[in-house]
Amino acid sequence: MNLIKEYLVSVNGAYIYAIIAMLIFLLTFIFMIYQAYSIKKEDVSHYSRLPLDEEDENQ
Amino acid sequence: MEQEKFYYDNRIVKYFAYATLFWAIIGMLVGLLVALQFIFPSLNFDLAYTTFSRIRPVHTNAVIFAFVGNGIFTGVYYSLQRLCKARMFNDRLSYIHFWGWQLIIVLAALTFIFGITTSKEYAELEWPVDILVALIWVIFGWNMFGTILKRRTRHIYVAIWFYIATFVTVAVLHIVNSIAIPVSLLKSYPVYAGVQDALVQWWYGHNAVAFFLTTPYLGLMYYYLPKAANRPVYSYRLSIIHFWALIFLYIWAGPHHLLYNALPDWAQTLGMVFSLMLIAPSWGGMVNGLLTLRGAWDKVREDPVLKFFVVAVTAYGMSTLEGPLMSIKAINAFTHFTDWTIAHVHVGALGWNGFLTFGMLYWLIPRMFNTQVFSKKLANVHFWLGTLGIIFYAIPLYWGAVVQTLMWKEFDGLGFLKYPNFLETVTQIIPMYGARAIGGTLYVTGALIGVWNLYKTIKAGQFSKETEATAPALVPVSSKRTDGESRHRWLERKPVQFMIASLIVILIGGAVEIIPMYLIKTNIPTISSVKPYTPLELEGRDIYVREGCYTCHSQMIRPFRSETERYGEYSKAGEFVYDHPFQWGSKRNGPDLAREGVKTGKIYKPDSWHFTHMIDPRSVSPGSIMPTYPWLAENNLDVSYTGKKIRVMQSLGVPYPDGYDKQATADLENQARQIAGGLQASGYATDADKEIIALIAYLQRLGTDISK
Repeated sequence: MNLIKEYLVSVNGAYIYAIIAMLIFLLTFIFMIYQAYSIKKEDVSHYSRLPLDEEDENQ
Repeated sequence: MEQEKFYYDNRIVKYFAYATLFWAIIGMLVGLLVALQFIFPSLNFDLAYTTFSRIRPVHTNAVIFAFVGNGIFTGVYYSLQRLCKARMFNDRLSYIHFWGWQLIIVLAALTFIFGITTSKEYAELEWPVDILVALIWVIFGWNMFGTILKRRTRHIYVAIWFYIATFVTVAVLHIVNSIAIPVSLLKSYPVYAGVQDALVQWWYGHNAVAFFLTTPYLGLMYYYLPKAANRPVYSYRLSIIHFWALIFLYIWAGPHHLLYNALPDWAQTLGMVFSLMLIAPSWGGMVNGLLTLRGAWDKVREDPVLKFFVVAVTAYGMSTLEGPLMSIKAINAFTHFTDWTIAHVHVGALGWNGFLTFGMLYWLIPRMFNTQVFSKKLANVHFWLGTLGIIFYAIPLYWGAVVQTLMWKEFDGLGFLKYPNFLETVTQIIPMYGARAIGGTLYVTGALIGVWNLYKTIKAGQFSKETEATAPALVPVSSKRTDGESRHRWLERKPVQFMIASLIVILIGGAVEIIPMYLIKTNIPTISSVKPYTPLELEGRDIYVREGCYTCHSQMIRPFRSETERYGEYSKAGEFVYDHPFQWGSKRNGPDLAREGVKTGKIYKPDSWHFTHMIDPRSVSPGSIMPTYPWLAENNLDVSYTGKKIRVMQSLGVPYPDGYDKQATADLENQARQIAGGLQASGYATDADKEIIALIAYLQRLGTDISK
């Protein structure tokens, strides 16, 4: 913890964190788009109908 | 495959639905009273318990945690069972959750009207109730996860992702923001001070909006909108992208509540940039909701449920565009501390949360009671009154905000403030407060009609305590990814891993913002002349907190000429290092008080003025809308905890000398005698042991550290 503290104290400004965070977000975002489109079409169709496929409704 | 028979528990859904309706009316009526107090200060009734500054938190908490909170649980308990094809994990946990939550609401209302508050907005509960909240929240999560784990469907539908993210994030927010050292059973000081306290509080405050008013309601939207429209969600892929983007980005946006405040610039910039980026995932949710109605728009004309949903999702879209725009520093300079913020949150609360809740209840209750809604016509009347109510609520406040902010910033030809008296800028917009109250009345009237309509529906129907269902048991499959299974698809069947992933995503933003604030010393430059409060000032500060002065008065002068001309030197981060909790406020119904005590300052008033003003503000400021605080001149100051308070402050790093707790009461009495003596010499009948003396001591200390 002390090591981290010393390192952070020596940083002039903390913009580096914003840049790192932005990069993490962009990578996560691109990865999620890739993941979303790697699910098969028929599965997507099935999943999106899940609330409608219940057989328990009274009406 | 062998079918298993099981029963959904409708009774718990009914309980939460009733509580939702009950608290909706209570929360809104208190809101209406609060709105009327702006026009008729006599409606404070000269009573501590009904004073604006004490009941405003009752309104906000009742609407957020009682009305919307019970609305969330109503929707979750109904949809979760059906999406998991399983009864709730444990009925006992369900009912402990229900009664525990109602107990918290009652305790919240009682503690706030008795002035027991931490003063942190939407987190005003004192530590024993905070612990109860944490316990009940864990019980909710335990029950929810138990249900998900015993589900009979492989796939976890998108609505449940939002429920999981809500559970895990609210737990983190609540615990981190509530860490405090108790002084007594009903009083504590937060471990954070000043800038750090402000940052943690608004990291919490903003994400209470995000993870209590938004993510669970998006989950409800993903279930009830397709059900009501009988259409599958428009884009499942879009829901994946917008879910992860939303929870990742939201957690960063807190500092946009502190723009131009004494917060390091890097944190303000982060808050602004991430707030702007939030438009994309927010609108992803809105687009997904509205386009789910493709091909069903003809139904919207006929079905009140869909009408409520369409306005709800539209209001969500509007407020999630407006919020990021308000986070742009140049725009925020005009909107912050004004009624624009109040209008903004009400478009969200009345439109998005209110209408989605009512739409959901109009859909749910007839189904659970095996009947049709009592009157479609009344439901339509409710819808239109509500819609007009939102418009009549918001527009006058937007108008009033623009008028007031321009008056605050206007200079005459000689370079002096054109409206140097803050009160002028308040009396100018009183008609707008009147129009706002009309809008609120319309909305409450609609809600009352809605409750009546649902009551008649319930009376006409027959309640099914349970609903029978059948489904085959889930066949175990490998816990690892199967052939051709994408990572996200795997995650969608692994609830624990899903929760951990959500937790990691939300922790990144919080950690990047909060940890450097603690560790980088240059973030809060120290000011050697800033000293701890005297015992009397500390007690006065606690009265300031108790009475909720922060609900109307900021203590944060922004670095604008219009503010430094009006109030004095702008606020510095180093001035607040002993402020447990910070008192920067978020709305100016009255002037800023950060430099109230500076004798050579712009707004200095003598002790005698404060004394008279507290007892009867209109006697010294005709036209003022401030409530009266006569009890401060009558109540004796309780000094039984003064020593303990000093010790707790010492434990938080406030540099009182060793053993000062033993001397504190004597010092307190000395200072009180001086102030009371001055007042008595001027002909005011008071004693040194009255609460008002401590409050005056605190007010006269404000802002003086850097002008010594």
